[in-house]
Amino acid sequence: MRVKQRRLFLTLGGLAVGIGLGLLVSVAFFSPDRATTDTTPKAVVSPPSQSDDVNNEKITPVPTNLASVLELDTASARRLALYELLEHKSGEQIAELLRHSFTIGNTKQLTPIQNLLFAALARFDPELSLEIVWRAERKKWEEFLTTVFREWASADLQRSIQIGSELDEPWKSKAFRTIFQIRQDLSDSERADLAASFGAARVLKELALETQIDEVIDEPKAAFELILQSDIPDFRKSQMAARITERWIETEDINNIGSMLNLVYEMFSIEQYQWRVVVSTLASTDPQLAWEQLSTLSLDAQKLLNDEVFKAWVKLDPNGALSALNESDYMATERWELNSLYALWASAVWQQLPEKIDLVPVDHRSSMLTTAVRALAPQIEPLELLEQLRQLQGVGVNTTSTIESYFMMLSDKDPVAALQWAGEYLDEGSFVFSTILRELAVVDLTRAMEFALQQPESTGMEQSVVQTMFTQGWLEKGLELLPKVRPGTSVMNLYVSAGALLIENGRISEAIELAIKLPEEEQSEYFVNLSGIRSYTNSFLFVQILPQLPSEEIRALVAERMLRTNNFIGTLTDDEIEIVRSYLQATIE
Amino acid sequence: MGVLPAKPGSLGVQQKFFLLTVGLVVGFALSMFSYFLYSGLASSRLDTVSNDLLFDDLGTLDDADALVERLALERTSGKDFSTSDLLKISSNLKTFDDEELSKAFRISASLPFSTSLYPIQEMLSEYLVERSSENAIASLVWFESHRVEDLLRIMFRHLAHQDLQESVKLVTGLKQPYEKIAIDAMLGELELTDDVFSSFRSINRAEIDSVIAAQVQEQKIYDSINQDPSTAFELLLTDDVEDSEQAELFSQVLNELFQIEGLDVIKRLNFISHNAEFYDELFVQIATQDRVGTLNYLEELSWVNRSGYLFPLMENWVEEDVDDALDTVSALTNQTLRSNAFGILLGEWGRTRPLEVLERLQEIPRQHRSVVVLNIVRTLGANNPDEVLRLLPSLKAMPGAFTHEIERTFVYSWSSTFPAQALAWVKEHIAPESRQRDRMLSRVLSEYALVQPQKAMEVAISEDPNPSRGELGLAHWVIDSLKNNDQLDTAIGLLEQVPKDNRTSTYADVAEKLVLEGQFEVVMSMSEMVPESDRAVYFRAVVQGLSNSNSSDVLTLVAKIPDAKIRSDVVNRTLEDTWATERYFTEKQLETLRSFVED
Repeated sequence: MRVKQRRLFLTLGGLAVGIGLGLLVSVAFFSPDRATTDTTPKAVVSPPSQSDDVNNEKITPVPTNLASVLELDTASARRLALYELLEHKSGEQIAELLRHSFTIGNTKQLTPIQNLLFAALARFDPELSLEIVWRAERKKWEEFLTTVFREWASADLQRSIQIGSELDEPWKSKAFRTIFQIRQDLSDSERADLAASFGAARVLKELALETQIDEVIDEPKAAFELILQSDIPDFRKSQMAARITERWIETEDINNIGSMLNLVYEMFSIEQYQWRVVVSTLASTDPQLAWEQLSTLSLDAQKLLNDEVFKAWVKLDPNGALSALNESDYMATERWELNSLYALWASAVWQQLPEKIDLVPVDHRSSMLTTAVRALAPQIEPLELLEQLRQLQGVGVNTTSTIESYFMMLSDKDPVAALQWAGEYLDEGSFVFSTILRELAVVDLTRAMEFALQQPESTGMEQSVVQTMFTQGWLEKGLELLPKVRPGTSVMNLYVSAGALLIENGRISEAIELAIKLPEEEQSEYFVNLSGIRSYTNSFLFVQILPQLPSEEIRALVAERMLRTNNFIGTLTDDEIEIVRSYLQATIE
Repeated sequence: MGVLPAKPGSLGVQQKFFLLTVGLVVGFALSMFSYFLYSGLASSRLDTVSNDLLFDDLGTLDDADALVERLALERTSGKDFSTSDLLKISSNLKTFDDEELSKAFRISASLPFSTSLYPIQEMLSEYLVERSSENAIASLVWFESHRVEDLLRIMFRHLAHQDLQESVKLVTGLKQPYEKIAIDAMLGELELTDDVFSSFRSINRAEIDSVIAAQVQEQKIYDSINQDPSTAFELLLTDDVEDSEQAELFSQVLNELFQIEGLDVIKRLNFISHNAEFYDELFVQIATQDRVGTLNYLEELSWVNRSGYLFPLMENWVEEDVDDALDTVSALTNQTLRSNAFGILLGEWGRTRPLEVLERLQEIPRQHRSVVVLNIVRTLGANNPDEVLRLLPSLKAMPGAFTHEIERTFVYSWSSTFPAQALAWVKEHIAPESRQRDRMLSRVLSEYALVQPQKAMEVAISEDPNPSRGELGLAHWVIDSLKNNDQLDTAIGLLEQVPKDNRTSTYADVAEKLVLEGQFEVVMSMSEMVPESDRAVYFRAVVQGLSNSNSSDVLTLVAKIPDAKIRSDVVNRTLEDTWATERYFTEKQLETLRSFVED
């Protein structure tokens, strides 16, 4: 028994010592930490190399700052050096390096290094990395944002989506674009669900469309069809159409531009204005050839496409383009087509227009000018533009309608400036003053009313101001101004507008009382108009108002008008028609 | 000693040594096995790649496929993928020869997504481009388009510094859109000096100057967005770059301006062309940050501007959350704005989701129902008339639904796609000689004339006279439609069939078109087919039509009127129209015109 015990003791003892020894040897010689931590990065990254360059890099010391990384010659060397620099750095240290990189200035190859820093930081702390994106040079935001979301979406999809959805546009869309591109492991339904939940359905649609287009990009017809069938914003469609067209130009012989233009005409309707970018891109390769070949297509095709082709030509050779219009009998019966083409020319030669105006047929000068000014107005100072029009008037062009049109446009954008200059360029009492006053009344009512009351009574300018208040729905302001309207002009419309608004606001008795302020002979007209003119949709409200009208005669007249309106539109129910008819019958009886 | 027999019950030295050795060896083996088992599992969880690489003889590794697959596939969780891993991978890739790099790059193109895949591809692209830029670019053929764009940017960014001349040459070999992407990548990376511009101009492309100019302009705009977004906005408005190409810049600038100006930034949109495709997009971008605030803000704008913005706002709101839109609009205190907003909201809802609105029609206030119903009928009428015919009785029974206008709208819409069927329905269902029938027929026959002109004319004539009809007669609409749709010859061929009483205006319309074609003689002949008593009216109508646009033709036509009295009468009427003479005639033309007036 003792012998057995001793044998067991010896065996177990040996086993125990063996285990101990084994562990000691394992830890001492085969520890993974020893491989990854105790070995210097240099050692780890120094496998046998195949070139002297690589051997030289092998002995390069570990970089200690960004500057030394940026000094390296190749992208791969910089990347490697940066990784070495970052290897044991904390998130905050990387963030610090990143912030520091913004102070380095325009060092070449800085952006790729910053990208790597953003990626490295995003692996530690994506929110901080994103925060720092907004501290970078603005032009780089998109690139860095993409880098951050690429890392983030790989590591933590839900959080990246959550944060991405909280960004403003266009960053939200860009973040989602990156997320959907990177996470191709998501199923279609998962993507659709995420997109729907976080308001990114459009991004998904655009990505799907881009993929489809890439597959058929060398078949322009199929590619354009995809765009036209897609449900994405128009400007995105235009961007994609431009991309297809650029490829199309490379693959198709431009001498066939006529057939290319014809394909555009066949595929696009006038409302699908992506055709514009397609045609302008095609035409810019050789506008004259494009024009010549366009003229062999159907009239409808020419009418749709000619302005973009002509615009490209005018940009390159305004004189040549104009000659083509003048020398041929081009579109002689399509006056408005010609007008818009001449206007494109006029816009291109705006500065020299007074000297060149004789090149345009006399019938087109005035309307051409109006169209051109409409296009040019946002880019030219009012006084400069008006002075040029004065010059044109001096050489015999009738600029009246152009000036009127310009002031109406200007009043929409800047009514104060419009009123300031209008006195000098428009005749007293011009209808354009009413338009200006309507806009001015919205931004400066006092000034508008003052100006209006300074005008001759016969112009009735103040009516425009007061009417504006009702049109805007500013009932109280309108009611306040109503007594200031000078006698001698018809104020019926103003009263009807006021009365209708009062009714819509439930102030029936006030609407009825308003009639008292009108001459007695106009009161019935007021009620008749009130029942139907302002809004057919509300005429049923008058069924309840009828009994409250001041006289039987007025009730009958209003009833008759209501029935006539109803006969045209059909807004009253049978019961309501019966009620209204009862007032009519009462008069007849 | 060694030969002595062992004592019973005692162990010999050899036996002791043997047992101890066995214990030691087994213990040692067990502990080593356990250690490696444990550490192996742990390392495969934490650091498989690095350990594999360390333990492998990397210098002899010749299987790029295996390496890349392992690198890319084993890393699916970003949380344990560190910069150290990247460092190791990058340094190991450095040992690859050209062939291995190319092979690895190509293999990586078809690998499924993993955390490490993109960085590895980017490393590979850098190594490749350093060894052979041409091969590197050629290798991109294996990648998906969006990835090609990313990698191409990386390559050209480096190439631009490496050898600008060479990279510019390489650019010209690229297809679009890649050429553009490569140029943008290089221009974005380089300091834009004259030398750089001159290198780029060697790219034989007509538009290269405008690409460079756009890049310079873009830089200017970016430089000013943060500090002075107003200037950036001005630059965007006035530059030569197509607005649609700058949609995102506009978007960024307006975001900045929104931080400063709040909803007042909406006023700036007025300066962007309303034709710009992204105009609504930009507005919606601002509006969605505060829809209710925007709606209230619109109250302060003039009616015209207000209406322009209500459409995109409601369109977006209906798409995103129609109930929220309905609630918000219902709560507006400005009756006019509320009414406008309701009209647009409901119109858009009816247009986009007609069947959904139909189910909720009763919830809509009565004064706003008509707009919804009319939109439903209009939308369905063109494509699904049977459905509208089925719905028509119940729609007409709905208070506020505009019974008569529903029918007209439906017929108008129907006739745009199926004019013959619409015509048959009108003839069967609408009371003869009624105003409703006349209105419907005028539109239906206009459409029908384009496919069956003779039959359309016959129907028009058979429908006359209608007591509700004005002087024009239905035949007018047949001719008018043909004339306006480039079928003038067909219209002229049918002119004789137009009843004499209705000829004057109809003939004048056709004559106006003929004047523009220079066919003055035909115009004169047509005057003889008009009753004599109406001849002056005929000429006056032609001249009136031309006065606003073709003053020279007016003069030519007037000179050809054979009857001096009629001529004088026409001129007098023309001169009385001061609106036209002040705007569309020159002084010289007016003088000539006056010379035709009889004393």
